[in-house]
This record gives sequence, structure tokens and C-alpha cells, in this order.
Amino acid sequence: MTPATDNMSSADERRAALLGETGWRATMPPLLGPTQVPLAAPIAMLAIIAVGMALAAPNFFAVGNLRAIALDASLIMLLGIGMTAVITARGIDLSIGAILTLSSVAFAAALKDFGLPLWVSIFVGLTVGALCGLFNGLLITRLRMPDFIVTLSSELVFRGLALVYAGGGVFFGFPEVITFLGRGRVMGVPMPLIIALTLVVVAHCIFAYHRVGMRLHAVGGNPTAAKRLGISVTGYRVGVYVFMGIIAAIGGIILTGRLDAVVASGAVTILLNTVAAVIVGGTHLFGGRGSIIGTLLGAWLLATITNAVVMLGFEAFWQHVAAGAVILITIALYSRRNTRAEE
Amino acid sequence: MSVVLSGIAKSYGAVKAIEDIDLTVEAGEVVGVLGDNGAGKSTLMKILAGATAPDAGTIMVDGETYNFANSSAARDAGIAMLYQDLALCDDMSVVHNIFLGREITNRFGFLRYGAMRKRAQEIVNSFSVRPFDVRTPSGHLSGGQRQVSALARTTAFGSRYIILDEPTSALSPSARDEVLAIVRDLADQGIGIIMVSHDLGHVRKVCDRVAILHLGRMAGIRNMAETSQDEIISLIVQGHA
Repeated sequence: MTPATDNMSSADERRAALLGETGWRATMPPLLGPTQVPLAAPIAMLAIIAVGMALAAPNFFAVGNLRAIALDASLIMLLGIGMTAVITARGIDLSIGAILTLSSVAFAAALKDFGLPLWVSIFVGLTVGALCGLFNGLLITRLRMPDFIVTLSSELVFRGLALVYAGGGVFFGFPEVITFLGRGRVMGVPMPLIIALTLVVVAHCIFAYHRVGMRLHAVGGNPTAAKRLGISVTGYRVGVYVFMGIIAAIGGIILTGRLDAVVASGAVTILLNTVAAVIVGGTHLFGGRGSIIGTLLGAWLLATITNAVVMLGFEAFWQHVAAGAVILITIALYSRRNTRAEE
Repeated sequence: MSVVLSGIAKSYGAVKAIEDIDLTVEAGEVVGVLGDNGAGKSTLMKILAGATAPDAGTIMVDGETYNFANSSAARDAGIAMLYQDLALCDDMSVVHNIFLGREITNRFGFLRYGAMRKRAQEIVNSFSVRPFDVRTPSGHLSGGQRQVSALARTTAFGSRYIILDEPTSALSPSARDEVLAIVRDLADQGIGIIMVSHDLGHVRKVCDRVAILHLGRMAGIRNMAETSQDEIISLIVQGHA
């Protein structure tokens, strides 16, 4: 082959040498993973709210209040991990609230109604979550049904099953281990936050630096190309729904611990908050580009807004208005950025 | 060292897409494949790339007979295909695109990004084009740079034969010249190139031989130095000179 420098100017040669740079910088993978995700918007929004609250309500930064924000953010953060994977793979799961509820009911039933040991009951809950995800994934990939329709329908099916079994009743009085997962603290840090952050770190490493994460981005970004390169697009798409189901089941167990109860009609608003956190965190709604760190920021931002509205003395209903406004502003910033990039 | 296609046929239902096609591509030569729409070029290339199984015929690569189950099997045999759409993930960097499906990892599956990046930059720098940073997302590259990225992927894993599907379409004139120069460079390295194109000018510029398909049959194979534009056009349009 003709050497690259044969017909180049000295400027090109210098550039070629620069591009072939060595040293630690050359070996560092992109921090956020295979795709560039814009995090400036959620970071800027968080900074603006922090400054505003520092002036308007200084006890916003009290440890107790920050702990409350962390507790609110942790469940969205946790569910956001699964949803980030699903959306990055060019899917959407509208059934997470129902999966969370059904797996919680299964866990509670195994423990309370069937008298199974705690760890077996947890396994039952996680298995039900995984099976719900598998159900969604198989319908979407094998029958080629739209994700939106499948998961919207399965939301009704899963929630219906939970209601049928529970019959409108409530399971309560769970073992201390479970309530510790939902309410406990380690050195003042809420357990749900510890669990969510641990999973965020693990998921980020897989998502950003592992072969699986790289292929997942490709499956969402260009499924035709991924298939041509020998990647099992169907396998990955089913896999993300199963993963989402397991994550929702983990969320269900944590929520059970937090409430010390399982209510089959609960977790209705969790879907919108989770999708909002993922999108505000920079994950592209139509797949191919996503970030777990972005989702963490998105979840934190939503929890912060909700808390700030209460701290400022507004009626609780204003939380929705404020959260919606911030989501719109963030998405508008992304759209503006994308439009500029296309131009 | 050659790829030999013998008696290749493929039908879709009652429609015969290609029939009794024989074609040999030697290492180090560029063979253009020409034909009107529906002549069977795409079907033939898909069969050679392992994307479609033939109904009849054999494929021999460097003396060994293959029956490709999929495109991975063809790649393992040393045949890579560069599709017209380039099959790039626009949000991912050139490094990630080049190694997609064949990542360099540690034993736990974590990417060895430094090694991937170094190799990707070496490959891109080795082409006779102005070098660009392989960390750039593919969607931010020019048409020529995207073509180079896709070509880099086909050459990164020691492919001995490369199928190029319309490699110069939708490129600026300077980018076209760059890509054609790369095609010639690759052939000079000993890689056999099969180039599907609608542009006779580009085929004449870079190909050693040309194979012309007409209504699913081989209308003729000519040495580029011994044929004329009129003869090629007659073979494309009428199936005979």
C-alpha cells in the first residue's frame, strides 16, 4: 500500500503523527461509552436549581433533605438503568410499573401465602420479572409487533394478573431484611441509594466499556449493520427486555421494603418518571445513543425538582408542572444541539 | 490464489435471479461487475458474501470449496463486503465501527480500547488520504472519510477478497478519486476486489477486467485493456456485443 505520507504536505504529516499519539491518553476509552451523550443540559439544570435553592431556601442543603432527594432518586435511577438499555437498543418498555407490581405480588405471595423461605421468595419475584421481560421481548422480536403496542398491552395484562391474585388486598409485615433494603441506612446513606449506585457503576462499566454494551449501541443505532456483522440483534433485543424485567423486580423488592407493603394497584406513575429521567439524561429516544451516567443525572434532576417545589412552599401539584417544564427545556436544548449538528 | 464461482444459480419463487454464473477473481486484480437494474449483480454479490445461499453452484476460495451459512462464514474464509450504505453506526466512533463484531477484549469481554484505537488509526493512516481522528463519530465524517472507515473495517481483519457495492456513489469528485486510489492500492497489496458499479468511467479507471450480467446470465467477461466502451454498453443493454 502507498504510505500515507507519500503525497502529503508536512502539515498532514504532523497531523498523522498527532493522530497516532501514544501514552495514557491514547488508551483511555471515552468516559461515557461508545457514543457521545450530551450531559451539559442536566448538569446545567441541576446547577441552576442548586444556586436558586441556595438563595431561596438554604435548608435545601440540609443532610436530611439531601437524603430525601436521594431516596426519591434511587428508585428512578434503578429502573432507569434497565430503561436506558431498552431505549438504547431502539425499544421502549411501558410495562415496567406492572412488572414491578406483579413481581412484588409474586414475591409477597411466595413468602406469605406459600410460606417459602425469604431467599426463595426473592428468587421467585426476580424470576417473574425476568419472565415478564421475556414475554415482551419474544412478542416484539418473534411476532415483529411494535414495542409500544406490546408493552402497553402487557402493562394491562401484568397489572391485571397482580390485581386478580391480590384481589385488592395488601400484603404487609415483611421481614427486617426487606425493610432494611427499603428504609435502612449504612453510615447515614439510604440503602436504596447504595443499591442503585452500585448497580449504576456495574451497569455503566458494562454499557460503556464492555463488548456487550458496544454491541447494544450498535443494535439500536444500525440494526441492519449489526446483523451483517454477525451480532444477534434478536438476542440483544430480547435480552434488554429480560434485563428490564429483572431490574423492575429488584425495584419492586426495594419499594416493598420501603412501604413494608405490596399494593397491586401501586407504582402507576413510575413509568413516566423513569422514561423522563432517561431522556433528560441524554439517551436518544430512537436508540443507538445512551448513557447510564446521564440517566443517573436525569433521575437526580427530577427528584431535585420535586423536592425544590415542596421546599419553596408550593402545593404538591406544582411538582408535575415544574418537572414537565424542566423536561421540555432540556429536550429543547438537545433538539437545538442536534439541529446545529445536522446543519 | 483466487475466488472461483461455478454454475451459481438463485431463484426467488418462480423468478430466476441468476443462472449458471461462472466468475473467477484472482488475488491482486480488480474485477468490475456491471449490469442493468435486475441483472442479478446484487444477488451474485450477496451469495459471494454469504448473505444469501445459492440454489446451485460452488464457491472455491484459494482452492477450498465453501458453502457459506452466513456472512460471518464468508468473512472467516477471507471475503468481506462493503455495502453501499456502508453499514456504519453514525453515533459510534470510527474505532468502534471498525471493530464492531470483532472487538479486541480482555478475557472478561472488556474492550481493550487502546489497542483498538491504535490499530484503527494505523489502518486509516495507511490509506493514501488525509488522515482523520478515529475517535470521531462516523456521523461527523465527510462522505469520503465514511467510505475510508468502512473500507478500513473490511481490511482490518486480513480479508483477501473484498466486494465493493457502488463504492463511489454519492461522493464528491475528490472523494471519488481518493476511494478509487485506495481500491487500486488494495489490489496492489494482493487483495482481490470485486466492484459493483453503475459508473463505467470509474470501472474503466480502476478495473483490470469487467464481468457483465444481463437478465441473470453472464453476458461476457472482458479484459479492460482489450474492450471498448461501446462493447461494454452493448453487453449491458443487449446481452451480446
